[in-house]
Amino acid sequence: MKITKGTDRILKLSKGEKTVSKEKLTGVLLGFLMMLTLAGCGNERKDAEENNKVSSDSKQEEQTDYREVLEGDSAPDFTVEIAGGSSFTLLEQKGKVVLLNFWATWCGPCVGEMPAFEKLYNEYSQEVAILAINCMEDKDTVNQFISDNSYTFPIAYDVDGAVSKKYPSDGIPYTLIIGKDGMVQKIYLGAKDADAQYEAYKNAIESALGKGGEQAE
Amino acid sequence: MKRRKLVQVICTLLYNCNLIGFANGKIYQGDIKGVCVPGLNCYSCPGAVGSCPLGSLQTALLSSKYKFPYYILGMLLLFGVVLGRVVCGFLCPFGLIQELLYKIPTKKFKKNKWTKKLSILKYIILLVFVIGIPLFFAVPGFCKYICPAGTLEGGVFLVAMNKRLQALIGGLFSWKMAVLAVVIISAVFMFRSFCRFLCPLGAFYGLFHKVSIAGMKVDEEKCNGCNACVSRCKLDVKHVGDRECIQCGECMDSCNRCALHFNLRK
Repeated sequence: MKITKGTDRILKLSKGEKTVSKEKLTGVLLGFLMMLTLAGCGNERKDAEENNKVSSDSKQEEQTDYREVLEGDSAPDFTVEIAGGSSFTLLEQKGKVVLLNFWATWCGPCVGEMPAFEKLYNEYSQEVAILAINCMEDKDTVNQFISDNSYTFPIAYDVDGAVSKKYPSDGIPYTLIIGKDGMVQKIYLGAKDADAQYEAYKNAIESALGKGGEQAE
Repeated sequence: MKRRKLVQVICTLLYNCNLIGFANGKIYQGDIKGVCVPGLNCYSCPGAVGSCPLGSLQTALLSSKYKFPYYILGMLLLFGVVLGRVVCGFLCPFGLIQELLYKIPTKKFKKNKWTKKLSILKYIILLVFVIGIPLFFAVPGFCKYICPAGTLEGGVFLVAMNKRLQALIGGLFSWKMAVLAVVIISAVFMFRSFCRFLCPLGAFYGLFHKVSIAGMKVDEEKCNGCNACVSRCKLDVKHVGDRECIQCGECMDSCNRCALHFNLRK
């Protein structure tokens, strides 16, 4: 009997130690968690500051509700900053066919179809303006992506999502072919591989070049 | 236990309170979507106002070479440390759906040594489909190839009302519908079959069973080791509160020594 009592005590002691180590472990985990949260908040704050700088001039024309753009609509105007420094305004492209794409680095199909844009950019540099607008990622991410893939076609930042808001969609990749007259001719949601997308966009561009030309004259 | 059902129902409604989305086939894209919910609830559900932690994790891993996923990892750790698999028992809409399916009166398959072995599968899915495939192949493996919650909420409810998405239906859609059918049918015969064998989110939260603050606790002084709780449990637990335990508390009234409690652990 005495012996069992003794082992009981030992058991209790070891249990006590176990709870202490559990508390320690919880403490360490919570500490780690707070570090992660703080680090995350820090990043967001920096991004938000950058957003404010970028969007301060475009804030005056702020509108909250945009409806979905349909084929046949006139494409909403916007101005964005292109990676590398220049800017792009849709209204200034009249007379050119515009291929407008919305993408993000975390979107597999978006990243997958990008070689199609590079190829089209090299083929139609005169008659077609190609622009891929990133959806709300920070500039460093976009710059890193461009240099990793060494793309040369124009890729724009949209850190605060101001342009994405004007072109609401159910998802990305979301690509619009806009005619010379500024009307949306074709809309694509989703993407297969780069080769299939190249064929599809090429056809749409060819027909936009033909049609758009007739309408302009 | 009616209280638990109530919490589950409220949670399901809270996660999916953008009811108008079901009618017009549109996803809610407001600011709250940036917050991730603890349970498995597809962010492509037309009603969803928050994001699925597993989907967010996979997506964040896709672009992790550009940006470390602080937010989603922090949230997952927070949910794990505070709640653990209490999330599975109380806060998961897909758990509720399976429990309702199990209420259909048929012959039921009880747990056995094979279901115990099969329950390891979810840890493999966590490693391969949620972490490995997104990191090395840049594809959200679990969402794309397996997740039946996504197929039901996004694939069925959203696609049913959205013509542009209907145009994208292909082979992958058929595969995901087949997975969903298997999960739904098996849930009628086996209690929460998806949670026990496939769910990587439950597997992740289960890893916190020793440290999570809320959950089931066995009063070792009162317990006489009769194992009535374990035989009452419909899941593959070895003892109350282990990593297979979803902390639902259904075992509490099986204990005639009142040794089981649901509370904050000290």
